[in-house]
Formats: sequence, structure tokens, C-alpha cells
Amino acid sequence: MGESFGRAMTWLHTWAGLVLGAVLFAVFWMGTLSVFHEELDRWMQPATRLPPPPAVISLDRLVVPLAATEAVGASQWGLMLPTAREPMAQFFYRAPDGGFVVHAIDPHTGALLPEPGSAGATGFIVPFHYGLHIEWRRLGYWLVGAASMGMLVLLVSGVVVHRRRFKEFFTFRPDKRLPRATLDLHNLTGMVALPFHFLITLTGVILFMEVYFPSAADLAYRSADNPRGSFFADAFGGFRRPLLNESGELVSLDAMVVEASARWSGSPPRFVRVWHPGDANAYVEVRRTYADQASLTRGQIFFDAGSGRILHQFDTAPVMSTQRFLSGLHFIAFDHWALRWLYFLAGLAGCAMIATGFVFWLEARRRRHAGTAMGGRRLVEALTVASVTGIIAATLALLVANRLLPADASMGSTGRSELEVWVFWAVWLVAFAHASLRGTRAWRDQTWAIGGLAFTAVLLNGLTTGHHPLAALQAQLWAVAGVDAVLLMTGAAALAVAIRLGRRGTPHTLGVDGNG
Amino acid sequence: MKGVSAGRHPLAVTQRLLLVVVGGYLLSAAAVALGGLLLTGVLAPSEAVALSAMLGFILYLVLLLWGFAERSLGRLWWLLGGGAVLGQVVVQALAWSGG
Repeated sequence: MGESFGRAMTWLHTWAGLVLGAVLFAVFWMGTLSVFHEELDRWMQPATRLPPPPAVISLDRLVVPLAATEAVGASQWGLMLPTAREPMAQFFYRAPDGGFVVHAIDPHTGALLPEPGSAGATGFIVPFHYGLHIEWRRLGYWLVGAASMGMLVLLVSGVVVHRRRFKEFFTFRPDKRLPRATLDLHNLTGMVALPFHFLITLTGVILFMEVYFPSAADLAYRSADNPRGSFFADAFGGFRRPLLNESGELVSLDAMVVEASARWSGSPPRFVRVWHPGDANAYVEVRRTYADQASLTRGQIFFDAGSGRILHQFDTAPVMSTQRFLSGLHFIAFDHWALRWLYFLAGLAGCAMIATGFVFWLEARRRRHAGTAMGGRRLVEALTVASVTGIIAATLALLVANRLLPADASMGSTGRSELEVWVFWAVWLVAFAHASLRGTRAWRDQTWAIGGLAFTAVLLNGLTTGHHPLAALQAQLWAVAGVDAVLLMTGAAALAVAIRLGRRGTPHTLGVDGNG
Repeated sequence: MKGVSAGRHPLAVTQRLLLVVVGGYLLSAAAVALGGLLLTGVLAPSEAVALSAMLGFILYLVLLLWGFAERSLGRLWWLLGGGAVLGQVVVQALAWSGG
């Protein structure tokens, strides 16, 4: 642990940050938004802005008749029950042609809700967070996994690089020149949220351990026909029995739910599924809610459909319980508003840390190479602007498009929800092109765009759904009011920053203490 | 950022990057697979796999940090390059023989 170790860590921190910064910002930004994916879904899918669900839902009355008319000949059907954050229920079935169909329904009436015409945050932002929407050979997962390992390396090397600054723990000098203030902010956000950043990144890769280390199951289960499937069944539970091809009854689902809930010390179910409906070997899977526990341990009980007797109850083993707990910490599927906001703020701190790291790199080189043309720096700057302000503007453009596109919008075979997503990609690309042309001034331009788009989104939501912030509060649509409030704050902050950037001009002469 | 102990020659940097990132991963993955197999002696197979895989991320992180701090490229070749090849060969051989 001498000087050479410190230098190696500085080199590593600088270059790993530069190479991975763009991906890391995208993953952190989308992850931060994913903390509120249900609330964003309510905003983006106005038909699901329902009043809170009834405390008790009769599946026998709500879903059994629906299955009889909608899911004729289905090999399975079931219901995802509503929660405080997700007020609609989701009825699903596997059609005889093999297709999987999901319909949102109103849990009060059982009425099918109209097609949302939007992937929402759950369909776009969350998968972006863990897979970058690159599906080819799961490349996106591997890129995010590699970036996550890079993030852990950056956090450890960052502590070594900035170790002297632990003494000046809460230093932030916004009145100082830009690089000094940038570095302060980088250290402040990095240190205050360091435990969160380390854990959220580590739990993120642990969550997908069987993707990243598939050979472990292959070897431990080498005598099984399907090693990975066998590992999955042992680790996560499951139960199967074949069709009998004789007709069978379905007794009360409500009675099964009551029994399951009693075995979970009163916790309600979240998910009910009938396998082989109508067959004498039909069985019912009931899963526990995640709302009241941190762990993603899957409480899972299987009932015989004809008799209502329990066939199988799965209990997670100790090591897997640890893995499920760590995964649950990452997912924050449980209800805890204070913690949810802390996750959101710590996520934003991560975004700020990554962005300021980039800016510091740029400023240090601008000073060192003052007056010389430096193509590499310019490319990095364009990439930085696009991956910081560009992705924020693109996300806001997605929300604006979500409220602007008519309900039946389509282009050829591309439906409304895909069009929305295309707007996101297009705006992101334009942001990169704009940043390449405008250089440093692009920061200010795009910050203005963020401000404008954020206010426009709130305005359009009010105009197209009638739920302007006050109306949303009055109607107790907390999710909508909350998203609007964050959008308004984003807009105000962006305008303040844009004005300040305009006043400061372009900082070309700086006093940087280079070893940062 | 002067005096980069990692060696500044592009070829040296490329070698190091491949050895540490790819070699380190392959070595970690082999260690996870072998560790999982060993642990099946004391744990249920699914538990052994999960424990080994979770520890594997820590091992990979340590290898990444060490690999960028280690000055000798030769040692990286032996330990990460050689270790990765040897580990993967053993894993594949065991997977074949056990089937």
C-alpha cells in the first residue's frame, strides 16, 4: 500500500470512470426512476388511476366468471392482485395458441381497462435499468453486469484516490471556481451515499447471479438432465403435475387464499394462478405479497383445485433466503415511503457523482490542453453531455410524447407504446448530435430543454387528463401529484442552473489541483 | 496522473485489460463452479451454488483491483491467464465426466 498503489488506483479511477461513465449514468438514472416505477405507471397510463383497491377481493366473484368468458381453453389463468401502489388487478392467461395475454382490470367492478398504449416505467424504464434494451444474447445484462463490477472498482479506488478528503468530509464550496466545486460535489455525493452505492451495485449483480455465473449450477447439477432448471426449482421453488385429461372441478379460490394467508401470519396474497383449469389434475398456485417484508422470499403454496387441499408448500433455504433478502434490498418492493424517497435521493446522488466525475475529467484536460485542439476531449464532452443532460431530456420527452400522442396513434405496424419509446431514442440521438456541434454550450442548451420539457409534461398531463397537481391532490391521486411535483422541481432546478450557466459563461481558465 | 504504474504502452494496457477483466472473470467463474461443487459436500446443491456465486462477485472485485495494482505483467499472465485456463479446463473436464 505505497505510493504506487495510490497511483495505480488513480489511473484506474480516471479511466474506468471515463470508459464506463456513460453506461453507469444511464443505469443509475433509470434505476433511480425505477424506485417510483408504479407511480410513473399511473402517470403514463391514466386509465389505471383508480381509487384505492377494496380491502378484501373475492376471487370467486371477480376472476372466476372472467376466466369463464375470456380465457376459454387456456392452459393457465390467474390474477395479480392490486396493492396500495398498483390499484388495478391484472388478469392473465395462456391462450390455446400459446400466446400470453394480460389485461388490467378494475378490482372494484371486474371491468377490463382499455389498453394503456404505453409501456410505462415498468415496461421501459425498469428493463432499461437492468438490460439497456439490448436483447441479443442477453448482451444488455452483460454490459450492465460489467459496468456494475466497474462501479464497485470505481467506489473502492475512489476511496483510495480521495482518501485525504475524508478529513474534509462535508466540504462543499459552490462559490469556488467550477473544478473545485465540481470535485467537492463529487466527493460529497460519493462519500455520503457510499454505503448505499456499494450495496445497491453489489445486490444488483447478486440479483442476477445465475446469469453471470451459470457454470456453477451446471457443475453442481451435472448429473441432472437440465442442470439450470433443477437449480432453479430447488432454489426458487415450484411444483408441477401433468394433465390427467379428465374434467375436474375448481373449488373456492377464496378459501385457499384465506388458508394461505393464515400460514403467512396474515400477509395477503399477491398472485393466484390456476394451472390446467378444468382438468382433474388442475392445481392452484398462491404467492405471498412482498409489500410487508424486505426479502423477496417467495412464499408459495400449491392447492389441489378439486379439493382445496394443500399439495406443496415451498420454504426458501437459508443461503437462498440471504440472496432473496439482498435482492429485496435492491428491489425495494416493500412499502416504506421514507426509505423509498431515500433510495431516490441516494440514486440522484449517484447520478450527480458520476456526472461531476465526468465534468472534472473534462475541466482538468481543458486546463492542461488550453489552446490546443483536442479531438478526444471534444468527443468525450459530447458523449458526456448526451449521457447526462441528454438522457434526462430524452426521458422527459418520453413523458411529453406520452401525453401528446393520440390514443390510436400508430405508424405502420408500430403501435402507440413503441412510438413513445422511439421518441426517447430519437431525442437522445439528437442530444448527442447537438452536443457534438455545440461543444461546452450544449450543457446550457440542454438544461434549458430539460426545464421546458419538465414544465410541458406537467401542463400536458393537466390538459389531457384533467389531473393537474391540485386536482390530483384533491382526488387523492398521490402518485400523479408526486410525479408532477418532482417534474416541477426538476423544471425549476433546470431553469436555475441554465440561468447560472449562462451568467458564468464558459470557464476556460481554471485553477485545478490536478491530483483530485 | 503521471507515472502510471500500470505501464502506459497501449499494448501493455490492452494486455492488462484483457487479462484482468476477461481472465479475472473466467478465473472467478471457475472458482465459483468448483467452490459450488465442493460445498455440495456440506450443503444442498442449490445452497452451495448460491453461496459460491455470491462470494464469486467479491472474488472478482478483488481480482480486478489487484490486477490493476500489480506492476508485473508477467505475474498477471501466470496467475490470471494461467489460472483462468487451468480453472476452466478443470470445470469442463468435471462437467463432462459427471454427466
